[in-house]
This record gives sequence, C-alpha cells and structure tokens, in this order.
Amino acid sequence: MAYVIDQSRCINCSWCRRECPTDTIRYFDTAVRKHRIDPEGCIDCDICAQVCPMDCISRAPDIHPTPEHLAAAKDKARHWAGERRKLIVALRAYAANQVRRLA
Amino acid sequence: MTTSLRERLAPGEAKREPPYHDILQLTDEERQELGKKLGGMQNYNTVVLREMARQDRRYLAPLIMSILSAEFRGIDFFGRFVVESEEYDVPWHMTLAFARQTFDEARHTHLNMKLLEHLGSFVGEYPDIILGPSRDAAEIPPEELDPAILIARINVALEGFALTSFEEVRELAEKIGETMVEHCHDYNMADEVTHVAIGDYWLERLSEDQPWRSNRAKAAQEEFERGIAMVRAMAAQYVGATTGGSATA
Repeated sequence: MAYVIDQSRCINCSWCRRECPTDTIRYFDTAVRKHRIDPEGCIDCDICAQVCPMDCISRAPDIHPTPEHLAAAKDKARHWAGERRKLIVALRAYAANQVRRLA
Repeated sequence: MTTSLRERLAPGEAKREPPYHDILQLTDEERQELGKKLGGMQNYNTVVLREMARQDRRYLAPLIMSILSAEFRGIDFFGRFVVESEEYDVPWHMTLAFARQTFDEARHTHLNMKLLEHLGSFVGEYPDIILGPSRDAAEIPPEELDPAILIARINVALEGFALTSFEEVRELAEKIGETMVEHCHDYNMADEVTHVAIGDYWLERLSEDQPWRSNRAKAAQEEFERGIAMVRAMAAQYVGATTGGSATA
C-alpha cells in the first residue's frame, strides 16, 4: 500500500517532503505545482500523514509498490534514520557539553 | 505617481525601538558578553539553542528571541507588501489577505515579546537573527519584485519552515513542562498554516493567466530552501555530525 496526497487541499507547505524518510514526495521536479507521492518509494510509514497540517494525505489501498521497489525504499529509510540519529546524538552531546561548560 | 515605499524607506531600515541589532553588528564587548551567556556566536542558532534549552531552560529566552526577531521582520515585510501591492497591480482582496497577515505577525510579535518577559529577558538582550540578504532597492532586479516570487519565498517556503520550527519548540516546551511556551507556539502554528495557505492560494491565482510565474516561483522556492538547508548543514557540521544525506534534526 502507498499514500496519496489530495492535491485540491495541499497547500505546498512541504512539511511532508522534508520528513519523508525515503525522499519520495516530489514537488520541484513535477509538471504541476503540487506535492505528489511517488508510490514506488513509499514504505507506508505514515509520517507524511502525521505531519500534514491539512490532513490531506491518506492511504491508497489500491496502490502497491513492487517488492523490489519496497525493499529499495526500506533500505533508503534505514539509511535516512541512521543519519538522522547520528545528527541528533551529536547535537545533543554538543548541547549538553555547552550547557555544562556554561553552568 | 507616489514614490515607492522602498525608495522612501530602504529594505534594511525599520523603525523598531530598540533598533535592529544583528550578530554582524555586535561590538567586541557584546560578542564577549554573548559568549559568556551562550558559549559563542555559533550557538545562536535555533537548532542548537533548542537542544541547549532541552538541557537547561535558561536557553529558552535566546531561542524565543531568535523567533521574535523573525516576527518583527514579518511585520516589516508584509506591511511593505500591503503598501506596495498597488504597484504590482494585484487584486484588492489579495492586498486585504496580506493586511490580515501583517496583523497576525503583529500579534505573534506581541505574544513573543510577552513570552520573553515571562522568561526573564527583554528585546535587546540577545541580537536579532539575519533573514536573507539586505540589498539596496536599486540592486534588486525587477523580476524578483514580482509578487509571485515574494509569496513563493516568504509565504510558502519560509512560513512552511516556520511550521516545523514552531512544532519543534512546542514539542520541546511540552517535554520540559513550559506550558506557556507550548500554548503560545501551538497558537502561532495555527496562523502559520493559514499564511502558507494564503500564499499558495494567491500564487495559484497569479499564475492562472501567466504560467511562467508558476515555474519562476517554484525555482525561487527551491533556491530559498537550499539556503536554509545550507544553514542547517553548517550547524550539523559544527556539532561534529557530518551527514551525507538529507536528514535534519
């Protein structure tokens, strides 16, 4: 299953695109000026639907990525999660260090 | 014909009291003072301050000031846009929509000023942030003054980022039990959604008869986002987390 954006309600805030762990939400490279989820890259994580302020992202039960696309997308998501964790850990360690130094 | 507002009051000027005083304008003494309070100018960054505030709520005040200085700029920008929209030949109700947005920014400014007081600080204790290059009116190419470009950069791109920022601050405030900050940023978030929607709606209307505007607006938005991504990447590199991907904190 994949997700789909209701383009009549999308306000192009790009929150979903920035949070998508597989970078599968397209905007700048589409012909229309609305956000679009490329189903081949969707891993059904629900993050886009959770962050959307317009509640215009929903499951599309009729759309199914192929097993190969799904496996590739999951790998991409794991890499993204790893990078993000690395960033957050480093940021928090740095912040803790600064706070200790200034206390 | 009246003189354009930007010719009477240059883009970098404003009548705020105390006047704008960004990090590039700090004297050596002021830099040292900021260094003692925050550990250095490199820490005067919303991403770093958010994490420092997570450890010690003393750092909420500079975080709120960084947001507040953007709200002041918002009043300037949208107020100018409302006055100058006559020159752009836009529909009257578009001018009204941005007058409403200017009022919202004024409300956000007031709200954040009160929050700053609530946190034991004041406007002027911490410097203003820098929001984009400040250029002389003569240096701005005419195509960049197209209302579609301005809306794409500010309403859709910048305010879109503001949604994420306010949600992060709200989430932080909820975690550390700062209910006033949490409530205020939840309130602000609701307005920002409207601002993005206003921008998107008018971008669509302005592009209906002139599709080139849509492409140009998209390109302007992409360029703006690259700028913000670069600032975040620099913060990540500084804290020693060099990442190759697009992940952001």
